[in-house]
Amino acid sequence: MERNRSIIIRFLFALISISYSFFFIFKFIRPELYFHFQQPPFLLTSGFFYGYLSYPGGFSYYLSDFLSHLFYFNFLGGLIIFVLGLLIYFLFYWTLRLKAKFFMATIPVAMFFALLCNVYFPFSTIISFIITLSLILLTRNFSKNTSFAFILIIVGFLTTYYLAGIGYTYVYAISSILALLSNKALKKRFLAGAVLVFIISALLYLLANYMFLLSPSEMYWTFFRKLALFMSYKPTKFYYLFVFSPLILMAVDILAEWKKSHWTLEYLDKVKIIAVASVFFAIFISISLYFPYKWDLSKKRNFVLCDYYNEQGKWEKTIEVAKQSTEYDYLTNLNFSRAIFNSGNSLNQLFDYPQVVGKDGIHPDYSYSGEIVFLSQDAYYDLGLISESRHWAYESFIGFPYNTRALKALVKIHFINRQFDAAANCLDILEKGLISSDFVKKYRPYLKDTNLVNNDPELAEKRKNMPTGFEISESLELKLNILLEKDSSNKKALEYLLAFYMLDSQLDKFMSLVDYASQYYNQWPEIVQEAIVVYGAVRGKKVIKEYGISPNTVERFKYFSLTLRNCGKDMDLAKDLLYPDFKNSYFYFFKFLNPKVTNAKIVVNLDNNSSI
Amino acid sequence: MNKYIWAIYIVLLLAVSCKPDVADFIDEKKEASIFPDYSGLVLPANIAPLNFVVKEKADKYFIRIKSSRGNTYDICQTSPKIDISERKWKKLLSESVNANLYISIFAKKDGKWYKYNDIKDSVVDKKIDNYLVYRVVYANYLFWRKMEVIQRDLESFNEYTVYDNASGDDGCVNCHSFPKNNPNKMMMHFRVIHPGMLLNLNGQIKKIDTRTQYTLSGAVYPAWHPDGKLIAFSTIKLSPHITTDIHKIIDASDKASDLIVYNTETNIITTSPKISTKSRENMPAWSPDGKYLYFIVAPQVENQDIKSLRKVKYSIARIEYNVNTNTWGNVDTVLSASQTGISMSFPLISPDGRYLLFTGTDYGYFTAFHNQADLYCYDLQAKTLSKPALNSSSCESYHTWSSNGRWIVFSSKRMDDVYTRPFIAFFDEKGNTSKPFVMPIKDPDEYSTLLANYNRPELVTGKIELSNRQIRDAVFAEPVPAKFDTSVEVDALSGATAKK
Repeated sequence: MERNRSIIIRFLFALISISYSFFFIFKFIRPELYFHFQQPPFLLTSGFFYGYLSYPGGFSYYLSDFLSHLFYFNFLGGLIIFVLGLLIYFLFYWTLRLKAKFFMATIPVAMFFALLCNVYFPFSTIISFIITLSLILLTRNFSKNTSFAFILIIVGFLTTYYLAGIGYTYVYAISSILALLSNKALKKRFLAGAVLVFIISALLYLLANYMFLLSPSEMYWTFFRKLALFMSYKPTKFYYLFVFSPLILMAVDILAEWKKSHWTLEYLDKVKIIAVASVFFAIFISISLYFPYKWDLSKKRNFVLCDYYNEQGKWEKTIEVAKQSTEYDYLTNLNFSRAIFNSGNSLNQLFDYPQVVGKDGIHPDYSYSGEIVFLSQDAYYDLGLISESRHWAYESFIGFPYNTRALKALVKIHFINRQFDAAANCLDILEKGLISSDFVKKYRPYLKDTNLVNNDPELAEKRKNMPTGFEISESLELKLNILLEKDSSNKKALEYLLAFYMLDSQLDKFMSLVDYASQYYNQWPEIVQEAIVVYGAVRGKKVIKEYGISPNTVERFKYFSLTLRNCGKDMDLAKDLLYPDFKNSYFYFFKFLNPKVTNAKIVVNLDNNSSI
Repeated sequence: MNKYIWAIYIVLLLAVSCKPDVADFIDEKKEASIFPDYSGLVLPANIAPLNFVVKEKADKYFIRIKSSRGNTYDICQTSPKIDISERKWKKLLSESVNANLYISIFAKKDGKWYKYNDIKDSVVDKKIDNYLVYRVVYANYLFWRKMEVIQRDLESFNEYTVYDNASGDDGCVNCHSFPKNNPNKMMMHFRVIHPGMLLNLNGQIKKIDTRTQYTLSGAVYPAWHPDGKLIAFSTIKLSPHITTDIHKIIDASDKASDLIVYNTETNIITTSPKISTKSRENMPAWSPDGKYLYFIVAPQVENQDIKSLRKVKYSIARIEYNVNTNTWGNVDTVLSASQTGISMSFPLISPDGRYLLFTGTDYGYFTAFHNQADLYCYDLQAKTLSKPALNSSSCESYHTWSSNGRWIVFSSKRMDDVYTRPFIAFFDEKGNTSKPFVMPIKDPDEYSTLLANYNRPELVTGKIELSNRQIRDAVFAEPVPAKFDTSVEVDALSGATAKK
């Protein structure tokens, strides 16, 4: 009867844990977001595969790139994560001998889920972890005979070194030697253990110095491949706790077994199993949830989410996510700006996100860094500055080799530029991946019938508006002027430039552009009206009638000015008082958020990926 | 025993059944489309197999390679990717020296065999230097990360990593260079991370800091003196440019540049007021006898004007140099930009001293991203300038001579206008060139899928015996500062001013 109850409780525990896992994976991890941020490369070619084989851990990187490449399909990605979680669970379950292993084995799974919430997390860690755990299991189950165990551990060490990576050899070697020591004939085993430690140390040295070409910093302590600085993951104690969890659990397991201490078993017998199950489920939830919340998942991942929606052309969603941000983030700002300029109501929404860095908030490549490659690629494509879009698409390959996002953009860009061989190469590469078949199917015919490019409205328009023969400077103003010089009716460029002058408080240039742009507007957007009013106030010019400023705008300006005056020198008070009604206005920006007033600057924080 | 006979019988049957009935095929009366294009070539007698992909859709392919003696090697398969046996290729190639090698292509479509016109390549007894050293750089604009210097055995598909920058904390590596195609002496620069110049002098490795207070920068473009002791370099103040011009996406110009000469034995950098003028001197190249230093030269930048900075034409000049006395003659203009109408870069003299091969473009010298850049040949004896037929509508840029002067390898973007690949061409005694072909590789599809440039091809007569671990260790070593020649009364800060 008790046995049956135990089985039912275990079954329920498993069922609830599995359900929770799926909920967690799709709610918090969101494989599509992980894919979107990491852009893992994968090609089904021998050359691509061989490229991974020349260094320790390459096999694990290959497998992890293959699996995470499939995260593009959210459901499939979720399924993969779940299966890997299950695999981790069973590997622990089979390796451990404690009676509580049924529940204890869920702890590393919870840690795995928690870690994967961080889009910077190197997925190869999981593959290396599973390889290592499998080898530990194998060694533990087949190491009854000391001589055989001795050879097995050396072979296992070499296999771990090559397949999983250098750092995991410590996890494997120490766990295996511990397992060896835990068996009988202690004296003999200690001797074997000591010899093994010596041999493994020597092997580590020889492999690092004579077998593989490694950087000195990676020779003895590497758990994942080094990525570009802006993508790099900084492991914390929690990360190492996860990686070394086989060793820790193995030590607990062996200690209990070795000391013949049956407290664990007896404890389980005495306490109702339902309570144990509840405790472990609580631990499972706590670990998986606590760290993502500690890390502040929504804040750290907002820019990824914005970028994700932007890539899909879901402008309203991007704007919504950006507006929900509780803290200013430069990348979110850039994504927000791109979204509003594509949403068709750009200028009126300009200040719905705090433009605290002024003109740089709409300048995608203000900082020449790896973080903005895709944003710049897409934003310049929107604007029609194809050479800059091309520029950033190619730059993206440095941080994200063979990424499909840039390859897809480059197919279009090369078609626009009449570089058909280059477009064919990009299509070939995409075809050798696993996730772009629809895209390839659509654009492959363009190679045979180049008229299809002319008949494609998007490509034809970009080709028509594409400026050539200019030297590109870092200045966004110059780039926008180049676009307008080529095509004065490029409304997106025009609105960008209007926003640029507003955000940079260059009101004279702004007014010149307003005069020029009047041919495209029957009525000025409210934000533009506000800026015109500010110009009138600052320069002492009459603008109300001349520019058809609405009575509402005039009234709002009067109220704004009056409040300012009433607050005297107490600007903080004025700022607080005006915030509720004016936070999205140009008046408020000009007076309080304008970086020329606040001296706000963009500081590139390379530590923003430090997390769990 | 019976089962073995059956097995042999089936294998034979399969082999025979694939071969087309020679009497029963449809003549396509055209050449098959293959990638890379390997038809109508002049081949060195020691080149690796020309693996290719048949771009004709078919169910089965039959390839027959025939030597001039009539011996054949047949391949029959369903894959269009043709992987030729190295052993058999070598045999057929050696049988075809000073004669022709034929490649017949048959394709089976809907149960019928179609034959394409034979591909005919001629084989010459002049061998190409058996190693090509190049940099594989995964970059196209200003960012960079992964880079490797590779030495490829041109007689096989073996390639060896000379240096992988991942082993040196991802620092930049460039400008690998050798004196007279000699693999035992080499230099290369490490930039940004662990910077310095690596020198390999017959296995003796040094790392030198070539920056001095008297030079514009560290050493840049190198040219080994034939004696293997001196290396001429340019020192420059570089200015990169990005443009909207698809045919010139990136450009680089010098705000100022001078030439210097580094002595590998004394660790001293010297120069002369004649090559460190206010004009912009760059791209040094020694004559094979070591008596002249060739270089390109352009007027100085006027008031930081962008036009005079970037849109300037370079001429080729030379200056006499006595290596024994360390004395300089006078500068002569060899080819003037105003006369030729082209801007010249990468001058390189053939080993026999007769031909000057250079890259010509409309302006500037950084031709790697100039689609209009082509190779030009100047006959130093006849004083005639020609544009070899090997050029394409895309960019032809960096080039190298084989030690016997009969082969050139050059970078070209003709495959897709984006990435450079190394092309090989025969160069005869009269200065004529053959149709160029891309360096054969095991899997030719890689030329379509590799998002990296094959940069700065350099032919050498053998394998570099230095291990990549030795080079890695040198990267992490402290560089020895080079000294500036105290006997010279000018510095290389552009303008021949008196030394401070």
